Amino acid sequence: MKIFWILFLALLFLHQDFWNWSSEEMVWGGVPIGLFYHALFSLACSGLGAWAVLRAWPSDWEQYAENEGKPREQGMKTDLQDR
Amino acid sequence: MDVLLIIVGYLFILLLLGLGSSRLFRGTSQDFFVASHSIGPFLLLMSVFGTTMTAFALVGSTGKSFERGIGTYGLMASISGLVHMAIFFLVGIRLWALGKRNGYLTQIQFFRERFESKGIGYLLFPILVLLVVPYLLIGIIGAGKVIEPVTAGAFPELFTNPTLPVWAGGVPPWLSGLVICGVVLTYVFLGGSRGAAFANAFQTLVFMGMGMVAFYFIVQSLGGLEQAGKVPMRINEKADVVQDYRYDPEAGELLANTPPKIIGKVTGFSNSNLTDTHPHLARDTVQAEFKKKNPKTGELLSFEREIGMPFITFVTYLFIPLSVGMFPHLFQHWLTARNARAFKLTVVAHPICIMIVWVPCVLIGSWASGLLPPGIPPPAVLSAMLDLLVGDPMLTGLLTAGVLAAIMSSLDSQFLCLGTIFTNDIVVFRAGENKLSDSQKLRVARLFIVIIVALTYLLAMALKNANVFDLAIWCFSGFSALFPLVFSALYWKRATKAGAIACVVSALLSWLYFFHKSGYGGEYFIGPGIVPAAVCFLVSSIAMVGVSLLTRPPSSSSVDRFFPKHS
Repeated sequence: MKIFWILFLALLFLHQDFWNWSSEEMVWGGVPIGLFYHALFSLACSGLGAWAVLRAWPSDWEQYAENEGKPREQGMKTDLQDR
Repeated sequence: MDVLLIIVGYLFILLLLGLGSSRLFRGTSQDFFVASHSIGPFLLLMSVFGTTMTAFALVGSTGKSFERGIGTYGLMASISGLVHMAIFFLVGIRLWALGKRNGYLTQIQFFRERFESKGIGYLLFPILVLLVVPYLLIGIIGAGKVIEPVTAGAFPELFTNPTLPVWAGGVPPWLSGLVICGVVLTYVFLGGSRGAAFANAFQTLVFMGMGMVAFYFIVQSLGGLEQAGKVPMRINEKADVVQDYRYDPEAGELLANTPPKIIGKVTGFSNSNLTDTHPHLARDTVQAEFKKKNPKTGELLSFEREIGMPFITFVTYLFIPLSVGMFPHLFQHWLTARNARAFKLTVVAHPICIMIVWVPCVLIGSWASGLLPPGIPPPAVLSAMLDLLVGDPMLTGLLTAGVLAAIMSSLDSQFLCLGTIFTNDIVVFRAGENKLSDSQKLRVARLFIVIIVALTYLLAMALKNANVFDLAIWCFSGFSALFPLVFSALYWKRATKAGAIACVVSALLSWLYFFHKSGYGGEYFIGPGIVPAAVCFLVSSIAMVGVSLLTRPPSSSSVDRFFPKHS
């Protein structure tokens, strides 16, 4: 999970692309660099998501929801209603 | 008339889909509220993405880019890709697990048990409703604003009191709002959560597809991507804002303006080297004065616009997408997931879906700055570009259907969610869980949905001239201010009931303060350009942490229940 947070913070920094702030350079002839960079950034976010589901998947929470005993039935009284 | 027929046809398909999904309805309240936890990865992705994207995704993004340039994508879209993905992964999966294990149907049920407080539910309910209702208004008002211009002239003798003279004979907002509400109400009423998920998936595919189709035809008309990149407005050596090109619809080609057409004058700037720059292609701020014609009187009026964006606004905007962590309708969508693995596709593909919808719209908006009059209302930019460059009623109709799809895919979840939280958090909670039969719960939920739809419709008609997109940002800001509540509830064992209440109250008060300062819904920044959501978030976080540390920790049984040994 630590790696997820480090990569998340790194992406947060990379999002502030002040280095492209004033540039009108075009990529593929017609896509401004400021937009192209952020489109790549979106792909990087997806990459971080892919890394997270492959390497940091919370399988313990998955088991907690599905395997650890019987889920409480919908329709049970809540603790608060008993009080 | 062709446009209207396509819109009617689209709405008819949705009704058929609603009827179809009602056949899968199992008749239980759990199926109505959370589709019996049966939604798989693709439907979950489409319904979550469709719900988070409103009319803003197509119409608002193009209009914002027309005003401020390509920085709009980084400001609103790419940061949402990062923050939404992280929230689905860090918050969504945990909430789904706790919801499934404990049988929660609403956020309030979770917060009541996590903080061992009935009161927090009664405190949160009106706040969530208060924040969701403007979101609903955005959809209904937005639909009216989209349909009236594109159907102008269809019924000249029937609709004689248009919003603007040029839209005479168009379907008026009261009728389009009524029809949209009726269609959404029908499929939510019949199919509940599953109906909404099917309809959302279909509508999400429609609006993603229509955005790309519009982009393709516009690029073709402009003579390719490279040529289109030269079109945005330019600043000349005299600090005039000029348009170098015009589009001749009869010849079907882009022509150079010789000399360039002067449309405005620079009045302020952050970068002094402006000659021959295209302010929409970078992000340095430039203030310019333009003129627009009052459509009712014909009088020329001056107005100022800031192109580009201050760096501090760009940085602090990251607080706005935190709102998805507290959207009650998204919580409900998460709970519809069949299993935790169903989240995987959503976590990975959501940023790409945002990119597919937003990049074309942002490009079209920046190109529009060089072709359309600067005074055109920003929400009208996408249809105006399509009308000028393509001029095909069939395409206009399909694009309008795409915009309606984006609107309705949010409306349905919000209507359903309000019915769910009212039934479960107020009626069932007060009456006692076993006092109402399953069919009575369904009746209460459906009745409340009808009442909410009716009230929202009336409110939308009363506020039909409001700037819907500024209203959307305020709505998101309110939910962002509440984000520390859900994050602390899931990740901080020491978070207490008093801390949670302080967090909610301080979020509400700070939001109300800035909302009042904005003149109740206008664009508003603090100091050099800080978005109010950043300050509200900070205030509510401090309240949560400070008050929690000053009060007695939660009971060990509660901590054990919400922080299982593995976590």
